[in-house]
Amino acid sequence: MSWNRRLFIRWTMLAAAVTAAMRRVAFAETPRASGEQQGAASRQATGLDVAAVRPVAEVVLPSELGRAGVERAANAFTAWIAAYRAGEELEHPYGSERIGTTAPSSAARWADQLAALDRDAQAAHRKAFAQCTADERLALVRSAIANAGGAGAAAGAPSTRMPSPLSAPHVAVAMLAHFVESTDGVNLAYQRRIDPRQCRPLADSPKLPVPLTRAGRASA
Amino acid sequence: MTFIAKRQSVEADICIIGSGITAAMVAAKLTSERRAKIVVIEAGDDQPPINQWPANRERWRAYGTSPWPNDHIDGYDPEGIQSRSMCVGGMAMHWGGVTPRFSPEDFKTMSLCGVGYDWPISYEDLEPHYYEAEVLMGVSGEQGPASMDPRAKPFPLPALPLSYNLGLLKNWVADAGVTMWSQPSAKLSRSYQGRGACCRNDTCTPICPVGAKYSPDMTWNPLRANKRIELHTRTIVRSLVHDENSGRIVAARAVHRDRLGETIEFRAKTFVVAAGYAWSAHLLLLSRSSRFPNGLANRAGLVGKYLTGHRNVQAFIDLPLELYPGINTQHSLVSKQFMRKPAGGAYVRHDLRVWESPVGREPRLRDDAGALLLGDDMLRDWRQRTGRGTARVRAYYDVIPARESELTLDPVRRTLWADPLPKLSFRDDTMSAALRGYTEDSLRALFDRLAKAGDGRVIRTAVDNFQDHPAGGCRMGTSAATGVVDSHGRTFEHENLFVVGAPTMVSGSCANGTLTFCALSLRSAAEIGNAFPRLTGA
Repeated sequence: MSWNRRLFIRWTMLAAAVTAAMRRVAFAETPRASGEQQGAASRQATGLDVAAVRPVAEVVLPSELGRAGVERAANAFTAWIAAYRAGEELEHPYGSERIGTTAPSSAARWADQLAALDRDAQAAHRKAFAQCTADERLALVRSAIANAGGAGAAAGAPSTRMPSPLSAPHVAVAMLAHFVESTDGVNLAYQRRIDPRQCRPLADSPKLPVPLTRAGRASA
Repeated sequence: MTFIAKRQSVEADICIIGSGITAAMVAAKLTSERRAKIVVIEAGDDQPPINQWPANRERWRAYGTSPWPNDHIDGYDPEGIQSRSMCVGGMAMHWGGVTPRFSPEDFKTMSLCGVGYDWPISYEDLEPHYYEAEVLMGVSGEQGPASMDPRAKPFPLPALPLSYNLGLLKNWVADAGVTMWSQPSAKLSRSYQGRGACCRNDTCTPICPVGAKYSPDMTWNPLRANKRIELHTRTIVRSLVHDENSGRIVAARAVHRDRLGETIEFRAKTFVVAAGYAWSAHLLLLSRSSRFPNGLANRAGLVGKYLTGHRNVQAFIDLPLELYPGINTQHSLVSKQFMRKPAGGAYVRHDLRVWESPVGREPRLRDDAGALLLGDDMLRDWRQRTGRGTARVRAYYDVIPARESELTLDPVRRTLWADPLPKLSFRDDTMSAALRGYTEDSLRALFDRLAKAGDGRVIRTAVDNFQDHPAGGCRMGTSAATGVVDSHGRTFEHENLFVVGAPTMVSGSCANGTLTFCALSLRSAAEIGNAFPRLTGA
């Protein structure tokens, strides 16, 4: 076959198509790589100090939980946000071609809010937030939530809904939202050991869940 | 500089394109009965092995992240697609495992009601294959009344028990004159074929952490380990190539996603397109040639037409029942009572399912006056609303597809290899569109009646804006004038080319379609296998 113009054009077009395809493939693979880098970067900044979270948890969680229950909830919350990674692919929505990714971590903002509670405590009571009485802490938290906006704090017709922990406007709301989604939260509300989304014997399914005698504990 | 296009060739007896649930059914049956070399081609990636599922589930629970990473392909996001899932196992890696059969009426709505289309097969033709699929997947079920729910053999596994909540809800609907029973599901009520029983982790969709729910990898893994099939991942079939004289398919021409510029030709005696409702028709349309300018099996222009499914109307009903949401949220009651058109009335057919629900029982951040609820106030408010219960009720109703309910080649959007992407658009036929308002009003009236029977009230209703369990696009018919394939999935125009499962459906019924996709595939596999020697003892 001679190297004529038609063959040259055909070869050029093929080469261009392959190059363009390779560029598209490279582009397509890029977001995943950058998402991982982003995740690695955000992992370094996702920690919240449980010692700073605990005094908040003590006033926003139900007292029936007791000291141990509050401690467990505060630890679970800090562990949860510490393991959060931005840019991770979300579950597929059904009925749509769009696939989303997790938003940037709220940890830094929440850490600022915890620090602000301390500053507010110093200003109002001349002591650290953790040293304030429960009533003083609750008042400071209420004021901070009101100032944080979102989640129905705006004037007009505030939403009654508990936001998801990740969309909570303030760390105190995030803490509470994280707890009410938990097994302990649901069991406490219903005062029965439902243990949602835990591995449980199928044969027990038809039975009325056993009552809780104390927070988080089933009666014998 | 010289440009040398590499070409690799793979030889087999049977080439299966796609590795979703219907491909798995075909492979399972052929490998157990026939002596044939089988290759399976999958555009997507392998999914994580079962030992990673608990951790993936935990991250999904904690952050909503996908438990099936890399289960789609960048750039393969066609307009109108239901799910992006393209991976080994396909969409059935995510599915809920719900496996109702269609009703006998589904196969002859035109003859019985003068509406829609008759299938070229009957329920009786499919019945043995329904059972075969139930055995392969491990379906736990309770048979409903025989008049509504005919079956020749009992379910392979006992029914999943009704939870405490569903027990109360069953009594409630019975008071309204509705007969319901335990939803058959591909979730194990006891251990079965090396898989453990369901332990109510209650996250069947999107992931069962213990493998009690069937997913296609459970079929693929042993077949691959025992070298009964050869599965090529990350390999995209771009076209099927036919013999110029006979029209038989001689090769599936593919590219590997990691090796640009290299073509892989899969040559086989029989080709099975098992790529679901979207990518099956898409492949036939892409396989254009001078002899078949509109694509393969498309002389009558039916490839991509009659996309079908069903629409969903649901309601949440507040009831004076003490329910405990979370006992087994994903399990439900089911009824086929309404899958038979009422005598004398307009055409309305639907299923009915009932679940426990936390709607209306959730904790709140603020009370009705807008006051912030924290600590004990929040708990008190929450408990006040747990004294009653909520039922979620949902009905899928028949949607008769128009011919123009279709998949076409997108004139603008292209794949990475410059092939047109598909474009999907679902449309009701004229009669179905005219009946839509009446149908949805009838369903709302039924929900009101149910609520009243339990001294409850409907909290809210909703209608999905998409059709669920999409199918069609290569529908079966009695001839090339009415279908792309015959009742066994064999294309009318290419004797060694089969399309199996969802795309071959004539209509989408009003119940989850996956078991029917599987039964149809097994029926096709029986026909495909006839061309190959039987295994000794099979």
